[in-house]
Amino acid sequence: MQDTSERILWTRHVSDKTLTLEVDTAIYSLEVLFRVCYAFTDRCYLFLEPATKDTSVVVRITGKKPDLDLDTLAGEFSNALIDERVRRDIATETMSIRELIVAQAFAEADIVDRSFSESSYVEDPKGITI
Amino acid sequence: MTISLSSTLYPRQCLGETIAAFADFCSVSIVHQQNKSYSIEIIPISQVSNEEVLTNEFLNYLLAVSIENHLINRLN
Repeated sequence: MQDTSERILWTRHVSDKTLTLEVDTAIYSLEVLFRVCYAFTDRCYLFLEPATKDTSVVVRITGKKPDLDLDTLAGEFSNALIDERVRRDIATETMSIRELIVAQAFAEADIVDRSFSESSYVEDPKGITI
Repeated sequence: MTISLSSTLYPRQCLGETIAAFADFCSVSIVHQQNKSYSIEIIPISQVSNEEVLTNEFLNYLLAVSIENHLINRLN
């Protein structure tokens, strides 16, 4: 396997159609990696395998179309990892305030109409009795 | 074609769903199994012309099922 990549240093070209890159799950969690992989399955074939380093995963990317620029794809994949990681961080940071907003919204307006479910059959609010 | 898969990345229970989805195109058997990995052999059904594409599509599907499984387990 010859590495012919000169443009993106952290990737390794294994053939004209395939390159690999190593993702450290201590930086980008497995969840982040999975979400990004899922987003790329329409454009390329992806295969994951554990790397020699315990916390890393090797991502093998093969383009679905012959004219696909693998370096561009690898660059976009790498950027997507950062994007998803930041999204996860922000979601964690803002979780309590989001829960508070939702709780407040439901506290002010109870959207469930309980007049039927909590009423007595004797009252017959839906007029079922003939 | 024989492929080695990590049980952490591709849980065994996700393999069955993928095999069922590809039943019209190939037969798959587990040829080797260890604690953290297992190997599968993909044998295309005769009318399948491109074995490489079939294998790649199979692995992409298995990855999607594994991701779904991983994210559902995280929520539970």
